[in-house]
Amino acid sequence: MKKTHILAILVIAVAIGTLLTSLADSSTYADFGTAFEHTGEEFHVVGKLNMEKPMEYNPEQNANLFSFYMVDNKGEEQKVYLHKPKPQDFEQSEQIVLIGKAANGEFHANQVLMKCPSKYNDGRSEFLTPEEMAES
Amino acid sequence: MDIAYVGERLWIGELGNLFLLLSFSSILLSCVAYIMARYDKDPQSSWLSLGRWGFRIHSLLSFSAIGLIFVMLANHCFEYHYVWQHSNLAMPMRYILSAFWEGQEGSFLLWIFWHIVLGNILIHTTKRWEAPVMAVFAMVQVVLASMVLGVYIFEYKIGSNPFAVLLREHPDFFDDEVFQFADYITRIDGRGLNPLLQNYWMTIHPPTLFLGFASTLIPFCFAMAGLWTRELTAWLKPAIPWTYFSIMILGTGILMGGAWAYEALSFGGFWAWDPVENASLVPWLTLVGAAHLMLIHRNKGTSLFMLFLLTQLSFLLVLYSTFLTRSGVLGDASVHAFTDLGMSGQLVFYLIFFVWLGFTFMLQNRKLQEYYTVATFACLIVYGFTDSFSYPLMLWFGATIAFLYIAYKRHFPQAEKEEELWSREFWMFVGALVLLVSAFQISGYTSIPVINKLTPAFAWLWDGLSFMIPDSVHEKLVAGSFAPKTDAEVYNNWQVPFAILVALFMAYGQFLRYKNTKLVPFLKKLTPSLAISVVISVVIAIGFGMTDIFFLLLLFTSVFAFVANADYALRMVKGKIRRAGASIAHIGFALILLGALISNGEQEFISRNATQYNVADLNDEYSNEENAILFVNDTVPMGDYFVSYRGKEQRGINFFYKVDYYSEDENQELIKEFTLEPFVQLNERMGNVPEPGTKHFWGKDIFTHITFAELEETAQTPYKEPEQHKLQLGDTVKGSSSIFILDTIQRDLNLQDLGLDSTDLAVKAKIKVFTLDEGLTIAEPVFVLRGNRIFSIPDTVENGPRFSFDLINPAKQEYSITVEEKRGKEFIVMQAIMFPWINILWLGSVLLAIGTIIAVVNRIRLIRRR
Repeated sequence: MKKTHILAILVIAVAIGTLLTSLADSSTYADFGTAFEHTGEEFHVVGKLNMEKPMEYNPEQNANLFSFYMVDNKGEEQKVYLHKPKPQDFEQSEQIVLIGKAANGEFHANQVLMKCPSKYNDGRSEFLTPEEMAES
Repeated sequence: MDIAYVGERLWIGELGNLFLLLSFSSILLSCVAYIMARYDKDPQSSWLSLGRWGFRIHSLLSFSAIGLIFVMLANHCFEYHYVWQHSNLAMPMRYILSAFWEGQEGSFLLWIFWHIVLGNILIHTTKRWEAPVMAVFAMVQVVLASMVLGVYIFEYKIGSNPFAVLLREHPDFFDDEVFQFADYITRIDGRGLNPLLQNYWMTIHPPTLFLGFASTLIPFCFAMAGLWTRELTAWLKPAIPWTYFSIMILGTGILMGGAWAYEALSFGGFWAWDPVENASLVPWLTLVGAAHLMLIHRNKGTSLFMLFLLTQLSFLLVLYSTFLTRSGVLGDASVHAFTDLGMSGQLVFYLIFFVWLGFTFMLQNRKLQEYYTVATFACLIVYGFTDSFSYPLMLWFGATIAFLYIAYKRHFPQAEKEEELWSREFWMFVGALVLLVSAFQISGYTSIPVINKLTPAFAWLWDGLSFMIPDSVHEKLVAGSFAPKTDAEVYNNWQVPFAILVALFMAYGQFLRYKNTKLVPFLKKLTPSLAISVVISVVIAIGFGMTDIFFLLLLFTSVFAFVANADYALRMVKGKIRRAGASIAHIGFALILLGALISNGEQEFISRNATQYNVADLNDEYSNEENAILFVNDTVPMGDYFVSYRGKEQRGINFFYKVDYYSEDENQELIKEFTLEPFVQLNERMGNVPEPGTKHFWGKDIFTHITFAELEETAQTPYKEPEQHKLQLGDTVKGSSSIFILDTIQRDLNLQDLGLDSTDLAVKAKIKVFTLDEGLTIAEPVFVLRGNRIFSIPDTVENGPRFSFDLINPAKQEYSITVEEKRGKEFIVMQAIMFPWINILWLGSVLLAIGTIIAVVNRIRLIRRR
């Protein structure tokens, strides 16, 4: 066998290896139900913040802990501990993606991604009223 | 109700659309003419001049259209959607360039602009290659020009138009009050440019990156021209300098993006493996591979198939990255992907078209070309007319690989002789393969959202293979629920070993000769570099206390690559700067690897040491002690420094947080070293964005950014909102920072002592107050009745709440007491990271660019001389 053939086989094997191991190593999009069935495994959970329930952030005690309640896309609600400072504008988030694991009946997230609505979806807020224009 | 609007400058848009339409038509004409010219034997064919003039007219019209957009932006023509969306009255004019390319349409025009610049240079420099090169070039330009047309064909919208009128894009606005005025145009303001882009890097990074993208087209066109004219090698000579140029510009553009992320984003570093960053890095990697294969082929005449494959892939991957970032498929996965403009179908179509075009040319046989074309179009038709896309796309993908294999076997010369192990070409080839695999891994993992869309359709296959697929993976394949990990580990696990190999090949590659090298003299030449590198690496490794085996290997190989190339430049090239381009570029790349390794691998969260509270009590796996709380004017130790937060200040839309860094001298006195002002930008587009403050030293950077802060202006009073309580004797109230009990009521008071009139009626409440700071104290607010007027003389506990006595309800024996709790001290939560030696990375970037420029100049000189 020629060196180039050995190389070709090696390259294809490594390429497939990178893809398979990377995929096997990836996390999973899931709902709370699945996450709580597999405690200790990392999941991405998509849902909405429950504004009715309390959000707690006491940086004076622990700057790296923030708790809130989230409802996932299937409607299940869980208390979530985010092990990070409270993100700016958290209340305004339209959708959140938690990255973390379930443990002891709570969800512990080490990261949160937020999708904020554009204030300009309808564009209205951008238009000044005639009175405001007169003032400015 | 119909309103005749006045003051709209609709002629600009009408003119602009005319320009775009004509520019599209002329580039189409140019493309057809160049194709005809390719088949015309006459070197002065009239097709050729038609092609040229078509391209020039296209250039002029596109320039004019771009000019009109600048006119619109400068004159605040908010009747146009693009202007309204990307600028406003308050925007300083120096950001007009950023406003121009902020949106999809503008960035396509920027790309078109660079193609025009490059295309006009090619017309004058390609000589006998002009017709085939420009035919392919114009074909790509036709596609780009169609992306800004925004015309409807059979209800299918082609492209997105930058001259779209606001009210036509947003019919919902008609209901708004402002649009009831005929002169609404004088009453509205635009949405404004995203403040995050109002940064100096943002005025140079996108144009550089787009010039890089645009320039990858040139090697592609030359390769296509070579295949088309069946001159499989002659195209290399003019293509090599362009390939180097492209590597230089694209590489600089990528690194500028890193610099912007480092300066202006709170990524906490210069590289975050963000999908958009990856999408620009991948074509660069394959292009570097292609450039090295070009050298092999020029010197040895081998590796032709791989050379074509990598050259074509580089451009196709640019198109793929365009698809990823602009189709909306990345969605939440990236911070800076464009929003979906409903062009994904179109983008997939163009991507397939160019893959087909490139690989059809690789099949140098009419019959095979027809088979591949039929296969492609069959899949496209199924894709276009049915809902299923997984099957046709995967079938087509499989067919493409099969046809590529046939092309490799049938149309490209197979090496008759074995490559020698100790030859330069062998190791350059292996290096190119490593780059290809590295690109594959990055691209594959970035494509997870795409993979999720494709796998569910093949559930039967995963079920059938379930005996060999782990359950967790099986579920994800069926549901399409792979989620990219957010930490860099998935990338680093593979990319660090790849980088080790590449650095190693870079180190000894140049010391090898083409064909064959005698091992003993080769090793002798290499020994000094090897010895010096071992010493340097050991010193650095001990200095930083590195233990990770892969980091140690990367440390050694990148130092080795640096030393060996410096040695080569001095001893072999003898310092002749013209010929040292490759060595300097290699030194630059070695320094980039070294700088990235040390600054990222040895970065230190100095803010963690200041955390006074144990955060590990809940779940130590998650504890993330990288954030520290800083109360205003408190001084806490952080790493080698003492840090104090001095208060905030609002300037424009930014809240600046002043953080002083002190060092301690031998008398344990604090000496102020520097002040950083990380800030939070009140960004209406994206929510509030924290931007870091960084102190640069020669050997390290101190990077500081805010992770949490109160944004409201601090109130003037030191007290919180008052709260009134109706109490009976003995009642206890728990406040936010105190507990108090209404103890007794005293009626016989010395009015004179209290400064009251002798006719006043006064009652004193005795309140026992417990606060954390003061322990038990007594507060004695007084209730006063003077004529019909009542008021209170409040009493304040030191460092505690303030009480007033407002009212007595004798019937119920109830006393109204108002308490104002003391406000907590203002604070911020921040991160401070020390990045050691990050300047090595930036130095490497500059050297990489300089080395490549030297190589370009040298190649052009060689061409001229022959």
